[in-house]
Amino acid sequence: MTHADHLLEQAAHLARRQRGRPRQADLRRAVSAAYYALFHALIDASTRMALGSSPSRAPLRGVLARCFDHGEMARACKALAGGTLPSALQQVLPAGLPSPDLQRLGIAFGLLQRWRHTADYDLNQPLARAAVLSMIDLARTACAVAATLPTDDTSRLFLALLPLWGRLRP
Amino acid sequence: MKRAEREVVDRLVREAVAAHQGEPPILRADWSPFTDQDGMEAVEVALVIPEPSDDASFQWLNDFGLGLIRAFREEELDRFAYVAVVGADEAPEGIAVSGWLHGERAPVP
Repeated sequence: MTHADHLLEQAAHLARRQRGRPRQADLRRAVSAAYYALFHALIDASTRMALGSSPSRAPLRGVLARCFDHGEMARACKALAGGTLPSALQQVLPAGLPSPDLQRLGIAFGLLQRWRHTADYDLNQPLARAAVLSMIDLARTACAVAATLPTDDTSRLFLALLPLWGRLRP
Repeated sequence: MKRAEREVVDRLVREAVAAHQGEPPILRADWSPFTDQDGMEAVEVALVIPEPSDDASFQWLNDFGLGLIRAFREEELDRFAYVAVVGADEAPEGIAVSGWLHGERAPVP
């Protein structure tokens, strides 16, 4: 199992841990873990594409993984979610628009990051278990998409640009 | 489960669904009493809606769930360990909420 799998498992455990009244702390940490599962799944996909999947290169991937930034990734995902790519990318990608899978990935990342912020910082907003479990489902689906992205140019470029989106020139 | 309690639960679910307007549409809402594996009596609400896919639908699901819990609490349905909104994953519509919503009452000892 991957680190993302473990985080998803942890999220589900926290969300269901209490038989009756769920503790808000558990639900909040569950949302956070679900978001971080996707965060790490995307980084894993990106670093594997850059450095290969060999176990011997895990330390190298680990170094590269430290270069990723939540805000930068959110901007990249927002562009995907909106179905629009910067003109520099549109010019070099014959397919033009991101695939539906990439779009879903972008939407899921934005949603989960937004709810992660709510869960961790806005204690005035209580969370309902049903909503939290739906978020975990969303994260699980998105992690699966991230782990099986096709090797088309759009996907590869997206993964390569994840830590660099802000440096993209028009 | 007593008949009077069934009627209250039925009313609460119907009222919650009827009060909902706009998106996402509630395609179906059913409820049934059940006893979970720990022997706790509960009410299961199966709510079929389009799979949450945007911020508004998650916000709605969160608010709806909390609202239903509050409604049960106001009716003092104390003997229920929890209320559950359970996913109808196999819904013919192919889309459903999944997950459990437990009430704010402490578990029955």
